[in-house]
Amino acid sequence: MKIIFTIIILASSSIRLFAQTNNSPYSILGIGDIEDGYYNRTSGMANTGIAYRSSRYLINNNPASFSGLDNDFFAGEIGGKAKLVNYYGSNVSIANNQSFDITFRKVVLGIKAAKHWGTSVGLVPYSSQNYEFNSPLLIGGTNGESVNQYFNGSGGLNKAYWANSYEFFNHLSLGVSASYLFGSLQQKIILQNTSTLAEYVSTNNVANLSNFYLDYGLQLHGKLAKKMDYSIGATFANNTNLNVDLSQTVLNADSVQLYQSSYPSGKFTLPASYGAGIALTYNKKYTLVADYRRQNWSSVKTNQYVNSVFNVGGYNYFLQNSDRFSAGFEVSKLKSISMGQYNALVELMFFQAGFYYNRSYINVFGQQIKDIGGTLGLGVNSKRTPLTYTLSFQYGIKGVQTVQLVQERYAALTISISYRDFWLTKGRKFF
Amino acid sequence: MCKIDRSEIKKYRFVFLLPVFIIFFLSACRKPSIAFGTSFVNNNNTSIIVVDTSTVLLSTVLEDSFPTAGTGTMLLGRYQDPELGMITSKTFLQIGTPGVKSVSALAGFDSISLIMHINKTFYGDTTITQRYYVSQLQQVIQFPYPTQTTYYNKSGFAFNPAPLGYTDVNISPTAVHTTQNALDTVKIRLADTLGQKLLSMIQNKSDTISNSNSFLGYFKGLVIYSDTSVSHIGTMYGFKDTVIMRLYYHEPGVFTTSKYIDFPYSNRANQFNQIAVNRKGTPVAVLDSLQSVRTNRLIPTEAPSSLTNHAVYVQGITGLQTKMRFPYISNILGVPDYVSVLKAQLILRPVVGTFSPELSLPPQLILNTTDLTNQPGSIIFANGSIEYGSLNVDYLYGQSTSYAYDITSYIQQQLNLVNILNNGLILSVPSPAKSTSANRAVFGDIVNKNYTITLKIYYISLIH
Repeated sequence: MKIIFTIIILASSSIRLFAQTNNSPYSILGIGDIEDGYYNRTSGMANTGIAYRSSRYLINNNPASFSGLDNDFFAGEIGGKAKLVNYYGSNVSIANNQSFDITFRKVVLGIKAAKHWGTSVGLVPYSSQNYEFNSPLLIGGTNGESVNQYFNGSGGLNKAYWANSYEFFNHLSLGVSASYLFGSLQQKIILQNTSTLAEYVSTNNVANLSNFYLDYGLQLHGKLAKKMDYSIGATFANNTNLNVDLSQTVLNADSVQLYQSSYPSGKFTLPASYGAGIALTYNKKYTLVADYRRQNWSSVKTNQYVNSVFNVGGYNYFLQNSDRFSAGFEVSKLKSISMGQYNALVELMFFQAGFYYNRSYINVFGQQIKDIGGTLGLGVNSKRTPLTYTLSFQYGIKGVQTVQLVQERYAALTISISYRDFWLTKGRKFF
Repeated sequence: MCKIDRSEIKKYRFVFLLPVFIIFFLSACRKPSIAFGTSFVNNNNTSIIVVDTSTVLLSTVLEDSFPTAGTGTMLLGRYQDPELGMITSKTFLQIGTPGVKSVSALAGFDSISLIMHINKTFYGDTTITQRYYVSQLQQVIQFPYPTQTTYYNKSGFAFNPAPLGYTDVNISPTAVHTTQNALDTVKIRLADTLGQKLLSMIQNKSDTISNSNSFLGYFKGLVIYSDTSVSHIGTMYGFKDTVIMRLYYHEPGVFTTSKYIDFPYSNRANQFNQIAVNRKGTPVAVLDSLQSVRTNRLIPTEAPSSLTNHAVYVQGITGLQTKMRFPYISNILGVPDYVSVLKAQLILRPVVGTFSPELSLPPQLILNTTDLTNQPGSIIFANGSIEYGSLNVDYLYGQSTSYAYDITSYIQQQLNLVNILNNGLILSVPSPAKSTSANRAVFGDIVNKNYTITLKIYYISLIH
């Protein structure tokens, strides 16, 4: 219970750390950077896991996966990421082009509630926004006098979910995840003295978004051959309208409110998303996975862009359908342990590698922003404790260096810690 | 069956949670500023706009009487100001008893002189030879009325029109040199009869010499003034008030010994400058006529710029101040996008041609609030300091010369008032220069748009 209590405390505290602090220039568009990481066992395989099933790990890539958990155990996982980014482009100063941060990314719990029924709750990021830049603003009525405009964007959407998965006929697993998407996108604009950076006036635009969200999953799994297991997975989420409440507050240098206004509530449509994946496992040891995910952002109308309410011109960008291809490979180091009358295979550690190619939902200055990279992963199951550590290293390149665009070259280290313990033993003891 | 060692789990539990806590508490972050995104935000909504067309009503205010005593400066000279008329200044002072109370009866008189020292201030053409006279007062310097506590620019005392002495000298104040070749010293030889009389009194140990009150009653004081002949158009010079009347004598002996006795000035508070102005034929002559017909003598005379050649004037020693009113600034409150005043700047551009290295501008001018009474109220501050104008002199063409003031607090305060038609600001030379310096400034009004007074209001604009 102490561990559960600890995880709950960390979870509630980590909410404040979900906010990303790395500068992400493209997150100014749309609802920010859509999170494509799961910070779980699949992180080392480029987050490829729509068809992946695990008896020990919480694979929140597909809600249908939870029925694969071992009976009578519960599992809890937390994940964090340290990310270093180098920026390149004509808009970037060579002397100051690096960004680094460490953030918590998720906390999830899962149990096998019944023999074929797995359930999981968790809090994970859905999107994030984090940008900062300066731009001169001419003072009206003058001949070239200007002030500095400092822009700072922050916030993002989070997803609190409850997923349930039920296995039918030992081969078909169906799952549904009921989530509550919530969060806010904040844009702060401060007008400052160009020389002293003394603040004149600040405008705070806040968009609060929220609504319930459902996504569905399916996994079909079985044996292809004596030593070959297969799994095919699919995910789907329908269009969802997020409720958007916009407000604007203007403060002077002494933080005295000069103006405050709330706009009429609006809607922002999250488009439908699809995913499909396959996983092949040989001899319980070697696993090959591949995923494809797609989201139909081009169906989102321009006037529904969240930023457009804040007078974004929309001249140089639009939203288009996003695609993500990924593949991964995993090798498990197994050990046979004598359990009295029979032997059991125990995984001691695992090694992973993956590759991904992501065409994001943002098209800016005629370029669809692409993100390509690779991952390496390592997992260790502690011998003496119920903890498992998963480390994955990721390197990727996002964007291009053509005129007005920024390229990010990033390296990230993801840590996921998983804890598993008995849920209900009914008098039976297990190893 | 394998049994789980619970104690082992407990033993290593928090050790393995250590990385968790490390990640939790580490929040190192570096974030560069990347200039991307300007195209996608059109902030404003909020911006800053300048309005510099607000009407500024200008007038010249005459402070007829002001203190000139105890400033530490003797202002001497007479010069013709092309804008303001003939200005003359003479100084009155007291001389105290000598330090030496006895001298040998055999001592012989040599000479007696008044020794002054320039303080490097001047106004006018320094190439012109100055003639300074010294006369003895016929009255003791004392207040004519019980309620009077100081001496003013129009104060004066009778003096002997026959001067005790005079000198002609050229002064180079910047080089601290005069044609008397004694650095900053200007010496005026006084009448020998005066010196002989004083030496005799010392030799006789006269009570008049030894008692300060008695000496004051006897000697009364001196007045120093420049040549007032019409043909002599000079320059204003400032002198330190530490004058000395020095009596030179000699004592016979094996070798004749030259000595001197100093009669220092006394009572700084009784040293004052009398300043006279003849404005006839100048743009500000109307002030004299308005002065003579005013009904309320407590309110200083005011002449709008339209009556003074579409210009306004500031000069300390002639009591000229500039009054500015901003009767229509409240109109900004009706601007739809107006939120609040961010900054208000008052920029004053002197008329080109009215100043030069010889006729230099006042280095400092202060602003006071005022109203219908034309009396100076509170002084204008900005950022905790008195605003002196930050004079910027364009030595090349003169066209960019200006004073600039931050009057944000004043304008913000005025915008909260209902009736501000008679409220304004008074521009004047600060003390002590106010009564010791002839530097002046001329500003044009709306007719002279290039060299006038402009109010720039920066306000925060919010488009709803």
